[in-house]
Amino acid sequence: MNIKTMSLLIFVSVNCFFSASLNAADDKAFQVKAAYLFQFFRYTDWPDIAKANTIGIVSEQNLNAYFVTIEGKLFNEQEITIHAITSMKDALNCCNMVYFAPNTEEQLQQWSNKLPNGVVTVADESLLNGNLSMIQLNKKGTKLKFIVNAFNTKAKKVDLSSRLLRVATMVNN
Amino acid sequence: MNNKLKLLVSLFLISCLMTRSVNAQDFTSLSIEDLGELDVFSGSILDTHIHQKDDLMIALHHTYMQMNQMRSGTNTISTPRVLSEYMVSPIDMKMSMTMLHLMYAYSDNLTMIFATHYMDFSMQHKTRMGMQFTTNSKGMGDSELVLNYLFKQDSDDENRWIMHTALILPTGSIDEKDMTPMGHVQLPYAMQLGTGSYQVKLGVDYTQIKERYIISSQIFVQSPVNDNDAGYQIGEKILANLNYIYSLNDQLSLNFTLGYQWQNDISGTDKRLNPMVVPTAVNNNYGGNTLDAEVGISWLLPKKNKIGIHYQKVLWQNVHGMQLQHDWQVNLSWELTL
Repeated sequence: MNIKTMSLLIFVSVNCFFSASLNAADDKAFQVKAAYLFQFFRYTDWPDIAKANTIGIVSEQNLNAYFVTIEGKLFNEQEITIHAITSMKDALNCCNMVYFAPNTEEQLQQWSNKLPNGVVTVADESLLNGNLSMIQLNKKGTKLKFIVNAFNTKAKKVDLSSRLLRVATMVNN
Repeated sequence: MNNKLKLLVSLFLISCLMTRSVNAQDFTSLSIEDLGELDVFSGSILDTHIHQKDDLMIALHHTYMQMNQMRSGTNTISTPRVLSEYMVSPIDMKMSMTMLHLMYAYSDNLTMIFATHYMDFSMQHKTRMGMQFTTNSKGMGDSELVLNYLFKQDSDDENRWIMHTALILPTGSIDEKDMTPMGHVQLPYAMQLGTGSYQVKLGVDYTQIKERYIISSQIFVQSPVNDNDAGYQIGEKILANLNYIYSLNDQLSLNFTLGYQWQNDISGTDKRLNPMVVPTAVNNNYGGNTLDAEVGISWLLPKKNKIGIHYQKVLWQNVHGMQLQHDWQVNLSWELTL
């Protein structure tokens, strides 16, 4: 094997290794976000609790691997299902809660007002227009917290439990 | 295939496998409160400037300062000029101070700090007869109890307003003595380790936090509330700072500070001092205005350790009476957040 080939192999190996380290950090962030979605679902006062069982994910990348931990979880004796949303038509009909993942500012901008009343919207902390959602994940130092935009919840007739409001770092009225 | 190549290919495959797998950890059993306490992100050096509930921080700051020219107002003055009015003139002063900070964030909004320091002063003098001598003092200085309260922040946490309130405790000695040609005498005000008075310090801090930099400005007012046991009190102080911290990457930041200070002179006199002998024994030879600039670099190490080195230089000063002028100082720091 010549030196060029060896150098290339070493370079790719090192890159793969460091990419793995970076991906490990992303993994944890998305897993915590998945857990947060489950808790937000639990602490929403659903008008028709019998029909509350779907979380939609709006994302450019495939995040299914991270949300397997909440798919099938029981809420009010029903299994929660995760639905990948690829269009506004999908979003309008599918779900009780919609999570806007990184790089979905455009979808959040265009869809948030059009979603039916009672649908809870959650924005990733990286979204610059996260204030258009009802619950905005929020990076605080090394931790992930959340802000409740109460003016949006009121406009769309969503009731969040007092426990959720107490834990939020901020409630924007 | 030779052994080296086999090893390389194996390494390549293993590292790429690591890239492909997602470790699906289930955090759904944690409460909504506990999720907010997890360390999710690796954290950058700028994050060390923001304290969150239950953060505990220990810091040590070491400052070395040198003052080596007498000054009156905005002009430097010579030793003979000083000796035309006094029997003794200071020539230079070296100060070394080590400060310990303990900080606890009671909540995301309220932080409590205790600070104390150990000081080591050395001042060289020259007499009218041409003799030189040095006086020294060292020991614990005054201590400080501080409450910092974040009273306003915007929804995206970029703009923060913090109120500072502090009580300075007179734990430093005002009775330091040393040998001089006149015998074992009470050292002047500048060589004392403390102020002897309780002091109150109030301030406001505005901070703007962006992804790659932080800009902050502070203004403080500090005042003694009582005469000390020797019958004097140090002058009130107003301090204003403008800071810019730029993050080169997640571990390294460059810091720039512009600082202004005004201080009143000492009111009252220590009867143990003879104001005819040396300018540092005269209460009106204290206080003035200074403008200084500081540059530094901070480095975030593993396990939330941070170290820094800063150099501060006085750009302009206007002193009351005759006193040693401030010149430069170097600050070394180490912080650990738990």
